[in-house]
Amino acid sequence: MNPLFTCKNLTKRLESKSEKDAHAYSLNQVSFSIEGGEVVGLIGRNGSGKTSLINTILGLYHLKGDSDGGELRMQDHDSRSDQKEYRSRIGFVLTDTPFSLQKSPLEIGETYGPFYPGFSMERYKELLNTFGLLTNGKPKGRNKARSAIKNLSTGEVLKVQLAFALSYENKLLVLDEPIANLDIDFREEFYRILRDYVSDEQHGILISSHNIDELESISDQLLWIGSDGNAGEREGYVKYFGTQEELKEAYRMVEADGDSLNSLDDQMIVGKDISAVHSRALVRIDEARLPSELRSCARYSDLKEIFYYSERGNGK
Amino acid sequence: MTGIKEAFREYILLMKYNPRKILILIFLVIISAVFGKYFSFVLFVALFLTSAFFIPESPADQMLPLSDREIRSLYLSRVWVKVIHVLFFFMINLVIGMIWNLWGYRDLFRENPFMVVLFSILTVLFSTFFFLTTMNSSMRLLKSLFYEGKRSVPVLIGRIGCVLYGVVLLLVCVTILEFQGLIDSVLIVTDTILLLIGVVGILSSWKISKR
Repeated sequence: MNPLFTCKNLTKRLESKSEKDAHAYSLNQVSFSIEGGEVVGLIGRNGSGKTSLINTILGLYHLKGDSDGGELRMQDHDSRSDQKEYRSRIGFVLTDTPFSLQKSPLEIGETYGPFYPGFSMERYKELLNTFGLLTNGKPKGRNKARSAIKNLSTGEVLKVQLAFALSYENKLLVLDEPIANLDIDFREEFYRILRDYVSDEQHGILISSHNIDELESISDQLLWIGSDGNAGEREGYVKYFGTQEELKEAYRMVEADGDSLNSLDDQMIVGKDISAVHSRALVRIDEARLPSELRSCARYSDLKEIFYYSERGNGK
Repeated sequence: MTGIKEAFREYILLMKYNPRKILILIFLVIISAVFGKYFSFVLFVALFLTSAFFIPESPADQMLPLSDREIRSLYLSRVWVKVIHVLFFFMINLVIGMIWNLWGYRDLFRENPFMVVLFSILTVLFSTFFFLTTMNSSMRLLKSLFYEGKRSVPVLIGRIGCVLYGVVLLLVCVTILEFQGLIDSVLIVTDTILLLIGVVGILSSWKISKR
């Protein structure tokens, strides 16, 4: 069966507008896919290209010119040749809201909703009500759904986008760092919504976050964007794409004294912390090369540790 | 043209969700109606007030489930709705000015129909050019045909044209007040220059939108 969404060899170059602060960023040969019923967690350090990737998928950045290339397909629809069908199947929730800050949630629904197939204003209002933004019967001035979204909090704006995305017939939900801006009591509701969205195996989710613990609890696959280069020219690439289990299987956290850790082959070490009190190192697993006295000190590491030591620097 | 219906719908929604704009609309009708032949001198005021009716535009427009060509057409439709909005006030000014001969509008027309028609065409062209080159929609339209972040020449011409028009308008006002006899020659020069800028701007924007 064909994947729900495919990104194949995506390359996108972005250059700054300013001549004083000239810098360029490229996404290089990014490939991954999302199956129906799957949640793909997108991780990477700040500036690695997560948001650029999301913006390219959503069409905010166009693929053009000789430096851009690759393919984005939503079911059988290509992002360049079949733009309408491609875009109509994607919903979005972005930290940097794409909607005009001057419009109220209700105005957003009436303005943009008719463009989307199957959009239901009743369903949209119902969701705004559920999220506490439209309270029937309250005076107009106390209804946040009638207030310009510039007057709402970041979390409330995310709820507006979520309500909008769930009010029309899309197949892929793309979320850019929503978790940190949602209040604690809404998060459980949010996760329930995501689980329900993919439960029929016909829908998929791509969600980026810095909150790795929470991504670990909801993602089926991980897409890790790494980046190389300097301030003037950076390049993003796929550091890892696969299941959490496969990723965790490739590493071990070894907790031992500093001398023992320093004796390890540098090629094995991803990152380490050596101190008088507590020392540990993240190693690429190769049981045969791990000294026998350290095998009992090795344990599986969690995603946060893998990410932290990998991104912090090699062998440091 | 794709999107003209949607652009008008957005315009109506502006007033549905912002009732204070209806007051601005009434005020604009009054300005258009009472200034007669001097409407061109308050055109800048009218254009700035009209900015209250600018349909807020945003990145969400680029993610709409439309093809790039249809999105460009939507941008252009928004610009045309704004132009029709200005033409509406211009028509009010013309009709009421002529019927009631406000500030000698009808007399001026009888005296020098060529100048009145030329200046009227210029006003309409300038307003159109103003919107085409300063609105977000038209800038996105132009940007969507170039790489992100690069400037386009027509936008630059438009901005320079707006500044020039303001300066010339000021000069004309001063001239009318102090040197009554020179009014015709000053207007001929400024009208011709601004007419040329307007035509070039509109033709280039139209040509770009056809790509």
